[in-house]
Amino acid sequence: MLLNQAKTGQCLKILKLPSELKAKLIRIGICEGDQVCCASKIPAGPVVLLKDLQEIAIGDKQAAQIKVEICQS
Amino acid sequence: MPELKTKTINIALVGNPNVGKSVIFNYLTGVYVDVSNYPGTTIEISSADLSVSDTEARDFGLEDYKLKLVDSPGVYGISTLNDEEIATRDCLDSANLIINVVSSISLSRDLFLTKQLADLGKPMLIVLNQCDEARIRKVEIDTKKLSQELGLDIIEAVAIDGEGLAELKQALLNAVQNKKAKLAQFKVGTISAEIDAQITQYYDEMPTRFEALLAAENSSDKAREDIYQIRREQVNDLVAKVVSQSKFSKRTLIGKLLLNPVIGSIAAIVILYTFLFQFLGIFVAGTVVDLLENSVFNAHFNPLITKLVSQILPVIKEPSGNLLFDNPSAAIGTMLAGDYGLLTLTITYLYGLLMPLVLGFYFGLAMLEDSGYLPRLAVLVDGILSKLGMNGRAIIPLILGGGCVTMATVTTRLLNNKKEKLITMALLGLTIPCSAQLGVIQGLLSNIGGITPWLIWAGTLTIVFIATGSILNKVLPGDCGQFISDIPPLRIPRLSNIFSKTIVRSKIFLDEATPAFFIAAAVVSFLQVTGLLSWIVEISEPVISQVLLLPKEVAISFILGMVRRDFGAFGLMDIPMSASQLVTACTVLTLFVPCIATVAVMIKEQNFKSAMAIWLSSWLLALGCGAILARIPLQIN
Ligand SMILES: Nc1nc2c(ncn2[C@@H]2O[C@H](COP(=O)(O)OP(=O)(O)OP(=O)(O)O)[C@@H](O)[C@H]2O)c(=O)[nH]1
Repeated sequence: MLLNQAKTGQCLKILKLPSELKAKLIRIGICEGDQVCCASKIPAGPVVLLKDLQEIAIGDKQAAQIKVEICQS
Repeated sequence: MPELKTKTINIALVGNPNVGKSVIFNYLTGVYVDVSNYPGTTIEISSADLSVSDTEARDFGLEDYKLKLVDSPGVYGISTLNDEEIATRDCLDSANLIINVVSSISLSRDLFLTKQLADLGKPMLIVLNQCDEARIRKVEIDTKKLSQELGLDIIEAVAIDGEGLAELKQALLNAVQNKKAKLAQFKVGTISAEIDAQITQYYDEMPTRFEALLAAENSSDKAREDIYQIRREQVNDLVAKVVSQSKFSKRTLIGKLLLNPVIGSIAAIVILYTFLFQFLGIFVAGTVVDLLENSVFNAHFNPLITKLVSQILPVIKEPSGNLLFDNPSAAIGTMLAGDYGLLTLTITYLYGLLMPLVLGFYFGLAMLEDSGYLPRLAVLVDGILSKLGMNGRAIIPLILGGGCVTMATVTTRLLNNKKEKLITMALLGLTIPCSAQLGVIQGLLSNIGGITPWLIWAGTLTIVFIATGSILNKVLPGDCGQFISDIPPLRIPRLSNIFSKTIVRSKIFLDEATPAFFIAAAVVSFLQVTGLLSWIVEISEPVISQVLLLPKEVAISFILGMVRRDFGAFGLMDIPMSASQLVTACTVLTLFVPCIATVAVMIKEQNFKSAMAIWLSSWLLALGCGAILARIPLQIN
């Protein structure tokens, strides 16, 4: 599924990042294969991810380019 | 004999956004730069010499040396992704020593930059800052191990309390010993074999590791991603080794609620309402300004000035005809101390009205910034703003516009996308009132009583804002920028920082506004004594009274507003109007043209054509909306 369909509270595994965002996201701390948690989803707006101690917001359009899967934790 | 103070050691202060670079810069140099809990507030690069006492200079043989510190904008890495990165890279290029500030609560993010800096192969020191926050969150960091792994020295610090900074200063002073630069004592970051392998082919052309690495990273997107991926894995390993994280999360309950779509939106409305209406409108523009105006300026200051001036020159209350021709000395007296007098009205406006309003605005803004609220607001509004061709980040210039539209127009620089920049600029010019105007308008509206007038005003602005944004978004080509933002923790603002920030910013604003105010007042009082003012009022009467159904004197406010927006609003206070006329006048004035300074910045940041388009459309918008508002029967009494 795509990241912008994530729901608050879900635990997600990042499968594929689009190349326009890849460099930016790797630097902040998100890479393919990482496990993150969806901390909040604003309707038609950004997804807020929780990674380690950090909160990272990703706009709806950008999140729609990121492939993720739900993982059981 | 060595020349005095000619040798300079350049020290670059580099780090991710919001790690405390500005606080450290401030401590080391004694120069205040904007400190805020909003990523990306340092746009301009500031540099200053390390402040040293005479004894220190003697002890360290610093007489011949300058230790120059450069505060760079916060970045996540150095490449060419945006202007800040390019600026930081230039500043690293000329640096002899790098101080890398990292935050102990976001090591997995910050160490990426650290690794990249280490790869550059320059002498470097690490400041592990915000250790207090790590302690509170029970995050334990094995500094010794981190230092070993990186091969670099680390100083632990709580910059805001000055902890660790004396040690840092000492280390910097040691850079010069026996009148010689001793940079060799600073360790140079090691590069890993894996990354070195990626860049070997560039060594032939590029003599230094610095150049070779940057050339390799910028050679193609693929190359960059590969190097980044390797580095990221190294950082993740490193973090796993040195950080022991307990179950405590950085998120507080409030932090969670503020990002909840429903509760967060309600909170945003309450916060902005309290700030704009209750604090700026009722308290500052009402209580404080009334007190100052009535009991200081109107009661004592102005009568005194008028009395003093009229002992030398005649001052005429209501001049008519061409006074300058008929009675030059009375004309000058009136220009100084008459209705629009330079010594009376201008000073009253500047210090009785503008100053409290500007202080109030910057105080509120500082609270919003330092608490870490603004990035959360950006997340909440991103969805809406992206429908208008902008992204969440644009909320910063839009809110700053409430302070001074001109300054806000300058900060549109922090938006990286051309389309977004132009739209934000247009909306700033058209719909955002600046602090003084905002304050006076809030004051006028809340004087009418009830919340209805305020809602009509705010509603009209919102409609115009949304309509203009959507239209521009459709018409202008291109996409709006990406929104990827990390969110700093919520912090309880430090009052000392709030106060110094409020004072510094207000001072910058007033220094700039004062001459402009005097010029505006001089122009208007000149128009008055030559009779031109009443002529302008006469010719604009049909528009004002037929189209907007307002008293003709309002024309003066509009003319003043063209010169300086805030100046215009003050004129409205003295004109008797009915409740609904006031609402119309306030709305028209808010929508009316941006002031001369803003137009100048727009021309500089965009071009003449866009600036003129914005300027002219504001005429149409203001008059159009005014005409409609004036004709809707409003239920206000
Ligand atoms: N608790 C705590 N807060 C700190 C410390 N150092 C800085 N801060 C706060 O962190 C925020 C960011 O500080 P700045 O100095 O503006 O950070 P910066 O790195 O210059 O940020 P940019 O200019 O955005 O790159 C401010 O609200 C400071 O008050 C610290 O040691 N402990």
